[in-house]
Amino acid sequence: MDPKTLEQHLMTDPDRDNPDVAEAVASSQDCARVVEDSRRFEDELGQALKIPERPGLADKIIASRTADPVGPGRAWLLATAAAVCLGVGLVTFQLLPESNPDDRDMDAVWSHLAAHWAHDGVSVLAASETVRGGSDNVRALLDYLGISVDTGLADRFALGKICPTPDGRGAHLILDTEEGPITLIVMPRTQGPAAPASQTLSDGQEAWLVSLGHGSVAVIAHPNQGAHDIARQIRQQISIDDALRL
Amino acid sequence: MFGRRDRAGRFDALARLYADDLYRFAVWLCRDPSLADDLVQETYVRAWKALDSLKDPDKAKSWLITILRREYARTFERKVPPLVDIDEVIGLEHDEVTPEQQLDRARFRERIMQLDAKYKEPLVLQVLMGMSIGEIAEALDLTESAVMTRVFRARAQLKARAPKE
Repeated sequence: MDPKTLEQHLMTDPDRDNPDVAEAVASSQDCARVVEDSRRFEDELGQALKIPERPGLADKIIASRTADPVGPGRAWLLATAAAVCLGVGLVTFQLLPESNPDDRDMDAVWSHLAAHWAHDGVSVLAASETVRGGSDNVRALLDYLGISVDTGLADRFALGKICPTPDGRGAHLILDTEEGPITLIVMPRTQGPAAPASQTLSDGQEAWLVSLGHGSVAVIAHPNQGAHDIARQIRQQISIDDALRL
Repeated sequence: MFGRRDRAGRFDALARLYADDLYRFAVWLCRDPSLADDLVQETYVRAWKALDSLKDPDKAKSWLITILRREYARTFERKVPPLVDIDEVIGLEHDEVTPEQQLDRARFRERIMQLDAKYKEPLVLQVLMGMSIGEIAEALDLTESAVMTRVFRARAQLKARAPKE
């Protein structure tokens, strides 16, 4: 193999253990130089592409699977069980006094928020300490989601990302406050409670859920960070566009 | 690898084997570690549901890449908000390198980011995930010759844009 052909080969497949490559190296100094240049380039490329790993990611994935042990192969079992439960539920529902539909809806929202927080709440908060998204980027994200925010508030967002909500996409935001960064989860299509409501999450964080008229926002913070006051303030500063673009 | 293992065991093995690789690829795809984390988890949720369709364990990595790319496209089909610069993501790495080496790497990453996605993706899969041309072709739904052309051009462009010594 001549040096030019060897160089082209290594740019497609940089495997230097290939017998043809080894043979070419042994046959000429020019080929040996080509292989050395390739090695240096691939080392630099490999270093540049390196990404720090996400500790515990596999464990998290496996834990999620454990929470859903029934695979689609047994879907008929699940369907049968669901049908039986539905039947029992319907009978029970008719026998019991009517409960508040708002409470039932909010239970689902709280469950979602708790799972969301457990999924990446702490890691996103931690990331905001080192990775700054930039308020312009957060504004672009909010604009994309049809979320309007007062300028003063928008300038205080340290990080933002799209996140799932019970009813489509929403925004997971980190807001800088004097008491430290706190988490906001804006849910453009999810109706909030009639009056601000709170729950304590499993790790002791305080979560406040407030309605935005159209959509809702959750404020999650340490109990000392005044989540209630922040929730009360920001509900005046965030609104959801009527014509949602998603 | 899988043989007679049960379904959950197969899935767990896939998570342990490939989650980190998928995460690295996802970071290069979306440039946001949290988003990449979400993408990988969503990929595995879908993989769990569709695990029975994976007949050949040797193709698991390509299969997962395909799911991840589809999920990425589905989530951000209209627009990708440029949330975080790749250097800031890499900056989280606690690597013992000299300032000069850090600068060289940052410049190299800048050149990688300038690559068109059609060149960058196969290159990342080859270098970062150690995939063969055939595996990349399968994951990206391309012919092997197309993959070879793209990784060649990716390297050629990186070399052409390198500062002259």
